[in-house]
Amino acid sequence: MQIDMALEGEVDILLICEQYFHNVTDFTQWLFWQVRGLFSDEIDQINSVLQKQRNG
Amino acid sequence: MDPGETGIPKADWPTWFVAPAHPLEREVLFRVLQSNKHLSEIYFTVHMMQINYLVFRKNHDELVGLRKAFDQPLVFSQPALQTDRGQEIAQATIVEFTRLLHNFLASARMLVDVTRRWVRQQFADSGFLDTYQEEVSRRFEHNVQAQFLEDLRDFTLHRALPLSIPELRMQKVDENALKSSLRIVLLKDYLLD
Repeated sequence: MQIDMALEGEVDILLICEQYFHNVTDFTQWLFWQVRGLFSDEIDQINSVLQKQRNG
Repeated sequence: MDPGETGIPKADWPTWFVAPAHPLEREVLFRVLQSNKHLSEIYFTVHMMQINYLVFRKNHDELVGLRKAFDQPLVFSQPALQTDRGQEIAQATIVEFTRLLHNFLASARMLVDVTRRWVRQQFADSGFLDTYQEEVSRRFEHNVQAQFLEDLRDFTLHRALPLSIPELRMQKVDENALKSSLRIVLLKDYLLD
């Protein structure tokens, strides 16, 4: 188990959770931008429905 | 991660859909999505991904908020943990911390599993699946924190709630005030037992 890692007898769990949160947030940000680019045509298509409605 | 690696400023998130401003727009949007399965799937999946991340984020905020609640000057007549009331606070802190840690670990796994499943399903025949896998490996495969928390999640959900010890530390600010700070530790021996 990774619990048996190079730590002394105590683990500052809040510090580890905070670091992990920032890593996951960075990754999620990267993924969202990738998905936003891959689906840009479809998202533009959906958004154009309301934009046309408003313009017209 | 260096935000420069992807060219994305750290604080920026992509914008997605124009929000309907009134019931008529909601109705128009609903009809379009109802008539196009592909668009509908993308629309709802994007919302689902955002909600999954926000659940994870909210659980994180509550978890670290527990520490911040103690990290302020407080007035004590004597060090809190030496009193009966102090013991009650310590017990309540352990229960609350364990609850918040459980929620954080569970939502982290939910976010990872649901996202992975969706990406594999959605991009099965696309080169993006390889890009995604490479990025996951690069960031998390040798990340000790991620592996530790995954083990801790398994331990917490399938074996026992982790035994935590709150350390409430007092630092004298002036004659009448002490500044407190909270540190919560897990005992490694207990987790390995």
